[in-house]
Amino acid sequence: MMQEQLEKIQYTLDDFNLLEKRVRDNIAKADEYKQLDKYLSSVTGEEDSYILNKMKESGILTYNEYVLERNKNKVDGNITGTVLGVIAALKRLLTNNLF
Amino acid sequence: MWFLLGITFTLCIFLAYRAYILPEQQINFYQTFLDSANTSKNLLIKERVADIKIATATTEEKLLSTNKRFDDFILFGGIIVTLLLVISATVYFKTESEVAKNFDEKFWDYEKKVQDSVTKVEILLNSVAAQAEIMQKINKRLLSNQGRTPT
Repeated sequence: MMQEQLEKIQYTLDDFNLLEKRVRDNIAKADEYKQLDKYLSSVTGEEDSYILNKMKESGILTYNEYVLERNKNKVDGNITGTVLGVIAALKRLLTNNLF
Repeated sequence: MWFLLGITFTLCIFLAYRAYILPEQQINFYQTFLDSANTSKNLLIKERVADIKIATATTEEKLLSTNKRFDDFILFGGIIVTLLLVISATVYFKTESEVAKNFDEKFWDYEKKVQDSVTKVEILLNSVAAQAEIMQKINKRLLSNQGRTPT
């Protein structure tokens, strides 16, 4: 059920802008990262979770752990940069500004 | 600073020569001359000797007076130079300690600022890299949907 909900989720440009601010201000929740990752997978058609994989490269195994680490002010430039890059790419896809 | 010290040192040597060595030579010369003239029975010579003695005494007094002025000058000059040296040394050591203290106090602030800048740059770099990677994936998928091979 949850899986279906995640796959059905659609983002607008405003949603992405809001999410970008939430990520920058470190108030985004684990579910938001998860939803974004799922949405990205549905867009790229790959089964791998791109953001989660980047987290694992930095030794963080779950979205919740990442939120916990960020709340301790340990900002990981690698993961945060990736999330912001994902949002930027998806925004470009929405605005048909891909190439 | 070294230039001033050099000038002061040279002046000291010159004044010491004037004050101790030169007067002795002059006095010896006059004394020999006066001793020989004093034994003369000629009244005129005796008068001249008396005049010379007075002139010599006056000159000696002038010399002593001048030497004392120079001594004062050297004394006060020395005091001023010493004070300047002390002030320079104090300023140097005070500045050094202040800089070290300030550095110790502010080190972690600056370290944090540098670290924040590094994180920002890291975020930007990774954002660009992620964007490029995702665009490539989306491009690949779009092309495969259209039945074309990605270049």
